Amino acid sequence: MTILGQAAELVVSADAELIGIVGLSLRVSLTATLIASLLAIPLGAALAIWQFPFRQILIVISTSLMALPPVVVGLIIYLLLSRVGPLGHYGILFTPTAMIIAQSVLIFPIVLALTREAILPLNRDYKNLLDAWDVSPVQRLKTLIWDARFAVVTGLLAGFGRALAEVGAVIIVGGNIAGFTRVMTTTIALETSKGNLQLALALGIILLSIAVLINAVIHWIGSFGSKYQVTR
Amino acid sequence: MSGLKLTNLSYSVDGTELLHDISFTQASVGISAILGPNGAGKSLLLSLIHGVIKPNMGRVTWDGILADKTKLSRGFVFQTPIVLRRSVRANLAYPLKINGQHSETAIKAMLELSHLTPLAKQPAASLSGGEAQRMAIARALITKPEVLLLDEPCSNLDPASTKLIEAMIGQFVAKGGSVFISTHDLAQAKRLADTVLFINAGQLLEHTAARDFFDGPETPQAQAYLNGDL
Amino acid sequence: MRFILAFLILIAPVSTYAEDRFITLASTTSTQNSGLYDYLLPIFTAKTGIGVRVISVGTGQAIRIAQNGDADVLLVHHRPSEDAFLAQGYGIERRDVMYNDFVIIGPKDDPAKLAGITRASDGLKAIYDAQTLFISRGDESGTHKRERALWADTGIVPTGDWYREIGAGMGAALNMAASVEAYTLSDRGTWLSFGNKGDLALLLSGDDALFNPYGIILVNPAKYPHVKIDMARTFSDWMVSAEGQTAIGAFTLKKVQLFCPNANPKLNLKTICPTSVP
Ligand SMILES: Nc1ncnc2c1ncn2[C@@H]1O[C@H](COP(=O)(O)OP(=O)(O)OP(=O)(O)O)[C@@H](O)[C@H]1O
Ligand SMILES: [Mg+2]
Repeated sequence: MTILGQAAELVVSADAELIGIVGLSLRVSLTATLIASLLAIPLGAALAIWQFPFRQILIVISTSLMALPPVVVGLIIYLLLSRVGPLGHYGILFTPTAMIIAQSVLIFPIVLALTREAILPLNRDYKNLLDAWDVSPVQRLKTLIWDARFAVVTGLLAGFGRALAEVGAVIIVGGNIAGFTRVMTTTIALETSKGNLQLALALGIILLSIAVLINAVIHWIGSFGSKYQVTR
Repeated sequence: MSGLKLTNLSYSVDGTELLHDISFTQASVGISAILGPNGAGKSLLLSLIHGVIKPNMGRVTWDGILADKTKLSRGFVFQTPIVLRRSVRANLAYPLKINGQHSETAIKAMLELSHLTPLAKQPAASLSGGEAQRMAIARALITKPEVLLLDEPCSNLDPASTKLIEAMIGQFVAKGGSVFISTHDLAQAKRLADTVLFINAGQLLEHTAARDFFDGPETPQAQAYLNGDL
Repeated sequence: MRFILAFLILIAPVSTYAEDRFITLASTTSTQNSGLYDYLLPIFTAKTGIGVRVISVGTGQAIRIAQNGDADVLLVHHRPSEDAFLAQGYGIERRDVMYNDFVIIGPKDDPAKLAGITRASDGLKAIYDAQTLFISRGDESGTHKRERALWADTGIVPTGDWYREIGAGMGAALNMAASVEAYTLSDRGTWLSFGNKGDLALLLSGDDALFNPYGIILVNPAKYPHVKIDMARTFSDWMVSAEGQTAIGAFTLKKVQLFCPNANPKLNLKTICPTSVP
């Protein structure tokens, strides 16, 4: 009860530092989800629709990538972005941009696989009809993604959840800099390491509440027209 | 060269030949019924005539042009109606939209024709079998095709729905359209067809005027089929 | 489309609050966790307009970050590593900044009987003799390196069930020591600010061998031209200035001073230090 109380107290106090941390968490994870989705949704749909060379290999690789530990992703991005790495001259290590990149990489295979799963049965259904109308590849992608949008958004939320909950990658590439790259999860890790277990747990509860809130909002947006998803 | 022409058409999947060396010509007027037992190859033949699939050997041409190049001038209603997971209205709007020729009047007219106006806002996936068939025909007609291919459009339908669909076909033909329809309803074939294509086991056995076919089929297979023995 | 819009709406209101003028400081968890930077840096930034982004990791990793050119300044506490960093040409202008000391932490009931022992190596020997649990950082941090040096003094090679290398930070080591009733070596600052002491107590301190000096080093701009050497030097200068040193000495936690400034003996700030460490 005291932990819940502390969480509530933290929220009510609307502490500027906490708001900054929450805001950064959301900005980084939502941007990463958006970037990953813009790439993964069309590619996932394409994998479901067309046969092309290396398709199977691509599927196996992307599915395996889901098992990639965040720390490894963080490490790879770190080595790429470090001043001595190939992308070092951009100087984006230890910035929110680096965190967005790491999270995008983490989320990408999840959104890809779940989009593919969502589109596969729909494409089986629609294929003959779309073939008969000579629907162009771009139109076909749009049609299938749109009509599978609720399942696609579920995949997107799964990716967002992973991004928001992730600590291993962002702490490596972001550096957990106070007021600049400190997010919810790295704050929780930091407070735990300081032995402030109650505060850490209170922050965890806030993180969870935010996740619930955002999922509810997106679910609500998505529920418009969900009746058309009835399957026969 | 006007109309439909099939030349030495064969179709096989994974080495199994499902349609064997079919050749015929057909002026594109009136209603042709494709008859034959289950698994004879009626659906495949319709698809090949439409152009949605291509033959492995031989060719299908319409007015001298390969069928798969002129698909859009023909409408196809599949044996199991394919329903886009949208509203009934959106299903009708879709083929217009992808061709950039949206028309509210056309949608309205097709809803009326198929008696679906009250269901326009319903999710198409919730339509009954007969309603879905009607919608699929309306959706095929909305782009104003010259030829309509119907794969058993009245299976599982009650007499009233069958009547409605036959009326839709009749209207289409009256305006100069040609129809290829596969059906197991011999009475319907008799009612509608000008020409009959009888196929069995992937082979075209008869191609004659409907009256001749029903009065005296030439092949023993067709006789057996009409007697319900095949 | 609606989803993309929803995303943009969610992302939009959160603005970036990055300063244009900033330096990156690679430092240790011990300084960060104590709250020293939270106290010190606002004073510096207010005076100079230079923001300081602190990456706090183990000393080993902090040095590696600086070696890769990913930081402008380094503030760590392991002299041999610092000297190697300078010798390899990665750093310039090392200065003493401050010190505190390491302490041996253990269960209140002290099963290895450390109370009364004054030499750190004797304390470790007592732990070894009693075969009570000992948590080692095992992460190449300054504290870990010091711990290994202390074991080397005893001539004991610590291995066995009682010796647990956890490969984690000071906080994690203290959390674990608290839950399994083990001994561990900590810096005084982290120990004092640690919030989950449980049944742990400070059992041994004050030995010269536990002296824990911090040095500040600039990353060599000849090696990495992108390094913000001017701002970094401004920071280093301020840290060893009378103002910076006074601020370090004035930083307290629970009314205890955590760091003793020692950049300039002439300032004679040492007198305000509570520990008996040289
Ligand atoms: N893609 C395919 N792969 C393998 N076999 C197929 C394929 N499509 C059709 N066939 C086979 O070809 C034959 C003809 O199929 P088709 O669907 O044309 O039959 P039909 O005459 O329409 O039968 P029905 O009256 O039951 O609809 C069947 O034996 C069927 O199993
Ligand atoms: Mg069939």
